[in-house]
Amino acid sequence: MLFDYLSVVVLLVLGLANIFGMMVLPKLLRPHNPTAQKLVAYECGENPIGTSWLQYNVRFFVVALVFIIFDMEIVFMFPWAVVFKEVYATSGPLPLIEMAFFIAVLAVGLIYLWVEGLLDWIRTIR
Amino acid sequence: MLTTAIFYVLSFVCILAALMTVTLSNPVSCALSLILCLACLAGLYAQLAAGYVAVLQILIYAGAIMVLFLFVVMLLNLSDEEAAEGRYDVIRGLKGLICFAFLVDLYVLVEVSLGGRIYGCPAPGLGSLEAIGELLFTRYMVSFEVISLLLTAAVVGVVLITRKGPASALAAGRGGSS
Amino acid sequence: MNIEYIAGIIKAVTIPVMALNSIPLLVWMERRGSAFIQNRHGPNRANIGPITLFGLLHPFADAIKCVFKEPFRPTKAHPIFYPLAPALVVVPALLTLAVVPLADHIFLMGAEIPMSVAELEYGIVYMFAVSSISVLGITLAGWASNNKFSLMGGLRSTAQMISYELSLGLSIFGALLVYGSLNPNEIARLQGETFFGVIPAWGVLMQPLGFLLFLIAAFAEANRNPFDLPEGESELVAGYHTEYGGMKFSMFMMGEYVAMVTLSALTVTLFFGGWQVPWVTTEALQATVGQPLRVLCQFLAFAGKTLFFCWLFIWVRWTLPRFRYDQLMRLGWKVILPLSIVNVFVTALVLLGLGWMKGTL
Repeated sequence: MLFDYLSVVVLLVLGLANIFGMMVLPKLLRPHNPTAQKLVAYECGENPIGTSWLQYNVRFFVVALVFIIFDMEIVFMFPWAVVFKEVYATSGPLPLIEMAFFIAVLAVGLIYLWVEGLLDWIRTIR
Repeated sequence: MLTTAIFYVLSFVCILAALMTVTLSNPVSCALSLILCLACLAGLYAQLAAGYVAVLQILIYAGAIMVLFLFVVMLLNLSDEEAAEGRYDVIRGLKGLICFAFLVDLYVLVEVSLGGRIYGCPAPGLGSLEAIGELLFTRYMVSFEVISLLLTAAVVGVVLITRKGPASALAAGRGGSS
Repeated sequence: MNIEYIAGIIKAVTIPVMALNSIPLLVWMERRGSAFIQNRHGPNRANIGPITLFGLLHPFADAIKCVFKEPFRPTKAHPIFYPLAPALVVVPALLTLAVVPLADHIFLMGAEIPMSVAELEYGIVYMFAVSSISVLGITLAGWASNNKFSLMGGLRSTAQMISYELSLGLSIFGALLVYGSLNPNEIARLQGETFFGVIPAWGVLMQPLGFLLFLIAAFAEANRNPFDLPEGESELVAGYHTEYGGMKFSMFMMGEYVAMVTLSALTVTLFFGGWQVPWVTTEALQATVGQPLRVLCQFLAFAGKTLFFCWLFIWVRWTLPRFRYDQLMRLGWKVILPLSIVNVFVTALVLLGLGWMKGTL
């Protein structure tokens, strides 16, 4: 068990070494003569005006929020999916009913979002 | 021997990353340090035979919540100078004081209540998925159902912050981009 | 030194090397495949003397070009996060491969050794968890470049990937209910039986809807056509990697291709029997041809199935037009997500009914 996690760590170290090898070592081979024009951010040949760290549409933020909520749901469903068959043998359809209730409550949330129009990409914010 | 070494490395990186999270001036740097800190915590959980918690730590905190953090930080759009202006030395000192108080608290907790005793290994199968599932559907059934209500409340919260009104200062005055 | 440790290190070295070496092959498949679909020749000129290998040398020429290209960092880009972002995409992509089983366990000098880098009890969750990190890399790439196209591309890509991560997660629950395990090797082993003695009991037959939803979500998760809006070149230049060139750009490409391999491998493991050679169980195969040949057969079966799904990714890319962004979000949130939830419930009810029938009969 712990050994398996150690293998993952070994893989991580190898991955980082790989990155190092790809990004740092070829520096010895590459040319390096930057000019001011070369280092301008690409904007179809025009000089960019201002920073591009702009404020963007709030709906991206909404997607991230809703994602977290449903990600939580998935996390609780993993143990359920694994023990479903075994628990069924001992305690009948109870886990299914429990999970049905759990998901039904969240489905109400999803329907609410749907009705409120937050799942529509093209919309006006009320 | 190896596990002890790994524990110390993970703890060291974790504490370092946590310190970077509270001290760095650029909010994106803070968010990324927090990710490193959470990843190290996941490693510590894995060492404690709580593999599922470790994986969830990455999935929920490092993966999902940090995406949201990055979004917020990007939405707030603070440049380095603005971020630096907003930091008064008094507040910084206060933050340090609070952190120090927590540290003392932790020390007292570990030394006094545990008294330096080392507890044995957990029973085999303790953090396993089966054990979690069994508990979730028998002993912690009600709490489990309450979680769904809590998450639905969060959905309502999402709807509310996107509505026009005092809560949605974020939505106001924003360009119609992409 | 313990045999398990030695085997562990060998696996941790060979499996990522294999994955990285599959990239030139995939690039070649992509170019020649697209040429085949569009009735062209495709790249076939790169050569060493008279040897062209049907264009297989082109990816190697590309690799050499990337190594020798001048690295640059735009003046306004963030000095630390700009180079960090591609690393945050590649490393998780490699890490997800750790739990994919290439064959059934082997017995070597009295030790049972899994044929994946790490056999985790929560392998499937682990894959989701680690691949969710690469989303951060893409967000960061969009932000750190300090380019308007990159920011838009990064945002779009992040929103798309997290939306479809949900669908991807929910669509496999039907299969997980059937298997009752999160261990990829266990899941592959459970698919070794046959229905009526003729049809292999692969997950796709038990979960046709789940498979379809999973596949659609996988296409979106890999940022592949018809969902490649983040790099929709007609509107966003190159999306989040507009400002990246040379080795850094090729790292994004590597991340994308490794993610493609990983998702294909996951599809195969969950729905197409993993390393199962059809109609032959591990024990029967081992009894007939011996252990080394058994492992080879299973590995070839796995690699063949995975390559087929990689080809499917390419095939779809050169067949279907691109979605519009609102269509993409509508498909993810309003079609795939509710259908996945319905799929979970139908599966649970059927399992319950089957159990009830077995209990009463």
